[in-house]
Amino acid sequence: MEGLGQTLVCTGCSLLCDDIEYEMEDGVVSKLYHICMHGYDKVMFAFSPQRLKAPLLSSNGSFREVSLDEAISKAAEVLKSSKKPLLYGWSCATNEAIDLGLEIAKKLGGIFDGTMWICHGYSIYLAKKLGMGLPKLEEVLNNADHVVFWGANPGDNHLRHMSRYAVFPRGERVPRGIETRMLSAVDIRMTSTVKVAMNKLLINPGGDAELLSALISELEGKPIQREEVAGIPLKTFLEFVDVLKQRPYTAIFYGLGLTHSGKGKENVELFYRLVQLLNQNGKSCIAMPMAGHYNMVGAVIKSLDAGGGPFAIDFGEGGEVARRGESALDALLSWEYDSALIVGSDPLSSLPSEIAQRIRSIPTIVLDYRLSLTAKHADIVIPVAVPGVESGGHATRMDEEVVTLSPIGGLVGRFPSDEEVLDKLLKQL
Amino acid sequence: MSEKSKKLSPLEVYNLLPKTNCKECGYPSCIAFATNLLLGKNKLEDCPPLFRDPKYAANLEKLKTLLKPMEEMAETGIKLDPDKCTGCGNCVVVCPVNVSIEPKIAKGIGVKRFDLIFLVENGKAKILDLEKCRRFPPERINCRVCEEYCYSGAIEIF
Ligand code: SF4
Ligand code: SF4
Ligand code: SF4
Ligand code: SF4
Repeated sequence: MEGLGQTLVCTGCSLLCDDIEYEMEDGVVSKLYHICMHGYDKVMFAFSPQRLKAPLLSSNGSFREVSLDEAISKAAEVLKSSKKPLLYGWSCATNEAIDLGLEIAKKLGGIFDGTMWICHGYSIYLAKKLGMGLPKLEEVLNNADHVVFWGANPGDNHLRHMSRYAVFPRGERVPRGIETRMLSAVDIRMTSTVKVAMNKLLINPGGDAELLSALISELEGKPIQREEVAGIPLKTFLEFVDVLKQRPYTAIFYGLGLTHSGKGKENVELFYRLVQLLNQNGKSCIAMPMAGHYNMVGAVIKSLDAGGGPFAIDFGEGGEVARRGESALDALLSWEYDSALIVGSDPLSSLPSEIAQRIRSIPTIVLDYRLSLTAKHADIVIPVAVPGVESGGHATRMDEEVVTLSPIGGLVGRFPSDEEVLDKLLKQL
Repeated sequence: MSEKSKKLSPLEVYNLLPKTNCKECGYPSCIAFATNLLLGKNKLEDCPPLFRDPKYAANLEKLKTLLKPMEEMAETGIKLDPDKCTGCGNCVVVCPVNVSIEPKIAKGIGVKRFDLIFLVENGKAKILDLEKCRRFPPERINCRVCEEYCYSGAIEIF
C-alpha cells in the first residue's frame, strides 16, 4: 500500500491538525485516522464526483471545457483589460498563494480583500496594535489551568480543539488534564461546548459588553451592586470572577459570538482590556481568536504587512496603498472595481445580495476545487488542488504557527495548486 | 448523569452484611468489605459467613438483588452512535485507559493503534476493545468520563 504510515496536515480548519495518518488503495485514500468529520469531508472531496476537473470558460450562458493554458491566458486578458480588479478570498489559500495575490494586486493597482473581515481580521489587528502576542497552542496545553471559550463553539466548529490542545491533554503544569483544568464557556445558548463546561455562563444576546465591563470593574476592585449580570445570576458571576482571580493561567478562546454580536468592535476592545488587566494582576492570561478557515490568520497577517489593515487594501497607481478599509462591506459596495479574481471563496453565497449582484455583473475568474455558486456564475473557472491533500505550501495556524503542508505523494500534480495558477497568471500580466 | 448511574452507598451494603467484623474475607471490617465490593474488588462469595449461616439468607437475597445492576453492567456497557459522533476525539484523549496504553495520546496526538478502546477512523470514533474499560472487571470503577465529555451525545453508558 502506498503512503502507509505517513501523516498529512488537515486543512479543514485553522487548527491544521498535523497528525492525520492515512492509508491508500488504488490511488484513493481509503482510511484516515484521527481526523474529525469536517476534515474527513474536505480530504475526501478530492475524490468526489463533484470535484471540478477541467478548466471552464463560459460562453453564451454555458460552460465549455478548455485547457489550463487557455484558461490562464483568458484570465490574464480579463485582468489586463480591467481598470481595477478585485482580488478576493485568501483565507482558503496557502501563504505562497496570498503573496502572489498581493503581488498581482500591486502590479495591477487592484483591491486586495477577502473573508478576513467576516472572520477575525479586526481582532487580530487590534491585538497586534496593543502588542499582545499569541502563545503557541502547545503552551496552552502545558500551562493553562483555566480555559474559557467565549462566543466560540469548538464542539461544532473546531472539533479537535479541546482534545488536541486546549482541554483534555495532560500538560506539564496540568498533569491530570481535565481533572486539573477548569473549563468555562460564555455563550448566549446551550451549545455543545457550554454543555461540557464546568462554569456555564449563559448571557443575554448582546450581553458581552455588560459582562466584560462587570468583570473589569470587579478586577479593578470596584464590586458591582446588581442581582444579575447580562442575565447571569450574581452568584455564578462571582464564582467566575474567583476562578479568574485564583487560577494562575487563563487561556481565553473567543469566537464570532463575541466579535460579531452587539457592538462588535467595542466588545473586542473591552475584551482586550480584561486580558490586560488580568496580566497586570500577576496572572497569565492569553487570548486567541478561533479563526475559521484554514489560513485565515495567514491572510490577515499578510494583509497587515502589505497594507497596514487587515482587509480591503486598495493599491493605487504604482502599487501604493491608496486606501485601506475599515469596513470591507462598504468597500465592496462602493469601490470601483470592474473585474474579480476569486480564490477559494464563495462570495455569491456568503455576501449580501447587492454585492453578489455587483460581482455577477463583472467578469470573474474563480480558482476552486468545487463548483460553488460563485463558480457557477463565473466567466472562467480554474480547478485547483485540494490544499494539504493534493498540493503543499504553508499555512498559518490560529496561533500564528506556520505549518508546512504535507500532501499525499501520489496525488501531487493531479491538479495545479492555487499558487501555481497564480504564478502562471502573474507571469502573463 | 442519569439516575441509572446513581451509586450504591457502602452503608446500604454494610447494613445487610453480618456486621461481625470477623475478618474472614480478608478485610479488617465489614464496612471495608462493603466499600471494596462496590469498587468491584471482591464479590459477595468472599464473605463466607453470609453463605454459611442461614440466619443471613434473607439479607443475602436482598444483597443479590441490590447488586444485580452492577453485575449486568459488564454485559451491557457502552454504546457509541456513529450518526451522532463528530470525530472530535474527546473520548480518545479523555479515557484514562487509552492514555495508559499510548502515552502520546495524553498530549492530544493521534496514534493509530488497534489495541486502544477508542480510535477515530474516517471522521468517526470506533470502540475497538471495550473489555479494557475500567467499568469491567477486575477494576469495575464507575468511570464515565468519555460519556461526560462527548459533546455530541454519541456515547451512552448504561
Ligand atoms: S479540527 Fe480542523 S484541522 Fe483538525 S481534523 Fe478537524 S477540521 Fe481538520
Ligand atoms: S467476612 Fe463477612 S462478616 Fe466477616 S468481616 Fe468480612 S464482610 Fe464482615
Ligand atoms: S468509561 Fe472510562 S475507562 Fe471506560 S471507556 Fe469510558 S473513559 Fe474509558
Ligand atoms: S467524544 Fe463523542 S463525538 Fe467525540 S469522537 Fe468520541 S464518540 Fe465521537
